[in-house]
Amino acid sequence: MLNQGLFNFAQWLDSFELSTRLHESYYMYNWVESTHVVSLMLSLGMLFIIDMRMLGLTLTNVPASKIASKLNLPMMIGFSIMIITGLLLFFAVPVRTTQSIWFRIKFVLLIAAAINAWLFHKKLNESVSTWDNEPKAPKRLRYAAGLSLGLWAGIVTTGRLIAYDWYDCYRAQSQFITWAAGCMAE
Amino acid sequence: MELLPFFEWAETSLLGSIGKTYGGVYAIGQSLHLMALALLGGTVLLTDLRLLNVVLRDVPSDQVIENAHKWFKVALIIIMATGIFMAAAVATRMYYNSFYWAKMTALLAGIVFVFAIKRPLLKRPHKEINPLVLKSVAMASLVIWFSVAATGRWIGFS
Amino acid sequence: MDWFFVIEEKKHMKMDRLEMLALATSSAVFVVALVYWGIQIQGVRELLEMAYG
Repeated sequence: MLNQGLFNFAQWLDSFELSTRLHESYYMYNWVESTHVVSLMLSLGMLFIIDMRMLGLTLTNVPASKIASKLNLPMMIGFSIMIITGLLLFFAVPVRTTQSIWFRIKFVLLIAAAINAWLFHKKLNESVSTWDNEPKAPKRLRYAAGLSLGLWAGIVTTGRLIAYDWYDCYRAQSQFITWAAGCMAE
Repeated sequence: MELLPFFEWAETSLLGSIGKTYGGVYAIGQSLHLMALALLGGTVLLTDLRLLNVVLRDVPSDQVIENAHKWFKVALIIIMATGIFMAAAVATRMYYNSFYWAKMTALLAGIVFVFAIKRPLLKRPHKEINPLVLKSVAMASLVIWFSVAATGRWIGFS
Repeated sequence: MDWFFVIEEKKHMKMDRLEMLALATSSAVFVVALVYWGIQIQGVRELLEMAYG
């Protein structure tokens, strides 16, 4: 059911002329892809610094709330670029990407990272006044920061793996992969 | 000096053949390379945007820069280690790839710029450094590291 | 541009050797990057023009 719906949606996206044109344009596609990758330096770069501050690994002499709030804007600019270029990349190759097991794992990890970030900020705002100048955040926030780093490592890795076709549906796959990737007969 | 034999040797070396044989290991190398790129980019942006007074303006720039530089070095080591691994597996192709050479030139320029110019300069109290020099160094550093990343990504497309 | 120079108090200082070197190298970086990326972009534009007119 779900897979059928996703597949229909992907085929619908695929029917746009713009999708094909983007996919087939060597320069446009690669330019979008490069922007997606290079903006990691801004989005993930800032996220790393914020998480590392919480873990007591850097800028320990600067209040944690200051790092979190001041680096939030550049980080969000970075993530906005990543989302826009990411959506374009998906739009360019919708059918294959929908049935990519790596893309599916990446998507789940992205949702987990978003929830983690939301809980992290809630907890941070509630408690920061009591420990702002400490070199390390309290245990729960440190776990959240560590989890954030782990989730993003997974997101980068699965994102990179989308490019590989080892588990693509056109190859003979185990039942588990066929199920998890949601392979549909075309 | 003829470099091609070295690249051919690199591809047949143990490191090169591991990357060639095990696609999964190669992909993990690429992912680590990307994560280190993010860390490197984060520290470079933090340093240079601070010097340009864009971020963390109320934190003394000396403090921000000392902290960032430690992690810049860590990121650089991971980037180079994973980069050598990635290049070894496809070394002969790299030899003929113009973006590979552009990237290596930019990387070398970046390393020299950081360790021979930026670091010695920023070891001084920042208030004593001519602001024009400070801003130029920050912008040049942004340009160099952006070029390293962008030419690096384009290696894969050409 | 006031925000640009906010922490610096001494705006007009004499430069010593290291500062001169830093300024010269930075300028060289700007020129080389401008030429390199300029050539790249120009190359792509010419190619696309040849292909699509």
